[in-house]
Amino acid sequence: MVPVTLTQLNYPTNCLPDGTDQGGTGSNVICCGTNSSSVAYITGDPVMPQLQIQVGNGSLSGMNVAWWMTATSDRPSLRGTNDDLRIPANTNVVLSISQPWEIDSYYGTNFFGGLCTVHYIIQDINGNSLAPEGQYQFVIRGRNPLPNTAHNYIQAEPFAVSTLYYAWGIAKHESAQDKYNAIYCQFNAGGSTMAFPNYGYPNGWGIFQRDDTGGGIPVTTGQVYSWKVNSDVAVQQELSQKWNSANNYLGNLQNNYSTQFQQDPPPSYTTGNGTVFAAVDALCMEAYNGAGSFSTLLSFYPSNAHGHRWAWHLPNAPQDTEPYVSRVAERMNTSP
Amino acid sequence: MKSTFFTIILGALSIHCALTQTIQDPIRDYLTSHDADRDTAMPGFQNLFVVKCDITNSGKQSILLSLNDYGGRQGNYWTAYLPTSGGYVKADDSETTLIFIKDMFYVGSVGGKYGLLAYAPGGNGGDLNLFQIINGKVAEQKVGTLSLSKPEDKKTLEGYFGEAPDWKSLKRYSVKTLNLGDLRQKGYDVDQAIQAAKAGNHPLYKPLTR
Repeated sequence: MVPVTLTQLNYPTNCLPDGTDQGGTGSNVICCGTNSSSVAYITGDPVMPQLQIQVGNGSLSGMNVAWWMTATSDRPSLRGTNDDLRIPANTNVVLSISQPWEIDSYYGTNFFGGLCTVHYIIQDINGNSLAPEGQYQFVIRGRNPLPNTAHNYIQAEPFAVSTLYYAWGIAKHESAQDKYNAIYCQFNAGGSTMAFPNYGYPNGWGIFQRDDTGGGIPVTTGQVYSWKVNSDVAVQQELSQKWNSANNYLGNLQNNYSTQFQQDPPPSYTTGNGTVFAAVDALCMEAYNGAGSFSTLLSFYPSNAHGHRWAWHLPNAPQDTEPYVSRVAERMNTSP
Repeated sequence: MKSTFFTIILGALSIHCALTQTIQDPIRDYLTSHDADRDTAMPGFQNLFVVKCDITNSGKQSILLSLNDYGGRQGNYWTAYLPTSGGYVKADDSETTLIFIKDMFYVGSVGGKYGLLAYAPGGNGGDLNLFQIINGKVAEQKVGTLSLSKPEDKKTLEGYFGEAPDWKSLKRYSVKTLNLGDLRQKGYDVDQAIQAAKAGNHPLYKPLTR
């Protein structure tokens, strides 16, 4: 039996107990199996594990190895087969037995994780199998970014710079795991599922708890395993879409009731801690939470007297005593 | 003065008629009527969700309609068409949005009250909200707060809704998704509906009054 060795070249070596990656990597052997020594980690940057695998120690010759790898979600009941993949997609990689297979050159910057298996068949130089297929199992999980890193990245998102200045507060609120005193958690910060993707029942994933309930923007594998991909979609697509919808709602009212609208422009919303948000921004945040249609959240009564045409009706967020927008404002009290 | 008076009377009559108008085809009504709110979701319209269930406890099916991506994590925003003699009437949702996740709802008696039970996720669990139709209006009442770390709360959730991917509501009720192609085939002018909504200027937007 020839030994097989899987190595992560960029194994995060400087993590806090809650899984926050403070930077620094080294080489680490990933053992075959499903225990704690069989985990390769996505770094906090995030960067996929740079993996290489080899049969023997490089001194064998005169044989080839046919390699391929498969991955599937840790939670198939939630993700189905959405995160399944085979690397390479349709073929095997045949290399001399003296060479390691540098797996990451086949997935590059595409993020994935979960239960992984490297399959290999040792062959003679004519491609005849010399032994049955071998399998090397391991898992890929992830480390979290430093709060400053996540905060700065989200604030620099194109639409966030100009408009969604509170997007980082949403991410912080959505992904906080207060039990572990951890924020910006793409992956769990403790417990029996530590370093698994941060999942919120029934459909939320990652740093923004991206959620495709009711035909929303799909939650892809990349969003489950990369906080940057998750943030990009949340800010540039979902939140910007909510903001545009809120803006269009107010625009529709303005088009139809221009006189009344001019006399009484939409009122700002002041949260419990005194933070003031423009109407469009408060509506955008509440829409992200799905609190209700715009017209029930901020009602406009054009036939009422001047000064009495608008009314906020923000409901408390689920399992909460404050509206969602207030909780976001609280998270924004302290930076990052 | 007289003309103003008659205008007001006529206006009130037309609003009354509009509110009580019997609707033969809820899907056509949903696609052709405009509101300043739902129109904002129409540019991204790809799918129409159609749920049939007895939300009024009349023994007859109501029809609940929503669009893809019209809503948020608490669920889609739905318009309810209630059965009446000769057709349907639209439930008044001007004060309360009917919100539920299309995979997770229960229709029946909850704590002695009949309605549609919805789960609104949040925190480490969420709320159970009961939506009722009272005098033709949508009303909402929080009937429970759940913590997913409590086994008994998890059991409650699973009892009503099941578990992913085997949601009970999908087996109990008719939950259909019609895409644009399906709707065109059924004779609905969805392209016109989308274009009209994009225009964003409709004298027919119903003004809220209070």
